[in-house]
Amino acid sequence: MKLGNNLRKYRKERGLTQAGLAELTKVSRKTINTVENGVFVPSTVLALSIAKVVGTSVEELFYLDS
Amino acid sequence: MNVFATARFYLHLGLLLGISVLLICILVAPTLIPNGLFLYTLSIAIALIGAAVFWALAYFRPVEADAANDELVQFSEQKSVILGYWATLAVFMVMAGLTLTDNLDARIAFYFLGFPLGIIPSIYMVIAFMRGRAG
Repeated sequence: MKLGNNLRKYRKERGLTQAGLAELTKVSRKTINTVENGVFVPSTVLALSIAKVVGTSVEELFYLDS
Repeated sequence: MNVFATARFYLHLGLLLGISVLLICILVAPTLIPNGLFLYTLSIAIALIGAAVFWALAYFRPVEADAANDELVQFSEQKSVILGYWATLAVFMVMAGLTLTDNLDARIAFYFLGFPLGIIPSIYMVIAFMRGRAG
């Protein structure tokens, strides 16, 4: 089972770049990039932090992709 | 580019090259190696200088240091250390076999264990950095 996400969609809706989102969540741009591309599974803390910044819930942002 | 992540990349690259050169010298031309104690002292000095540089970077550029030590980097570092552990264990088994069968001096075998321990995590981190998985 893989973790899918809608991060790119929500990030763009908020008018944020990867670098901008990275700065607001205190991680590197590469971390945001790898999360968006499904390469890296973020921790609960980071997932909550990203969801807060893009103004949605973790459930909306991430889903199980079977 | 994040200065902290770049410094770490060059540190790992330096470690990788330094230890590789040392290994090649030991294998190919052991007479080229100067006094072992000198190399030991030099290694300690380089490690202390590296630690001081990283401390200074973290102190003067805390935001970049935080971003360069985020969970993606920590994840990569964990994997590099795990890989280093298994590589060292594998080399230990080989060295133990050679030592027990009197094909290798235990002192040399001990020194050889330092190579996978030092090189493998650095190889992993250099590759992770180049693939955008480490800062």
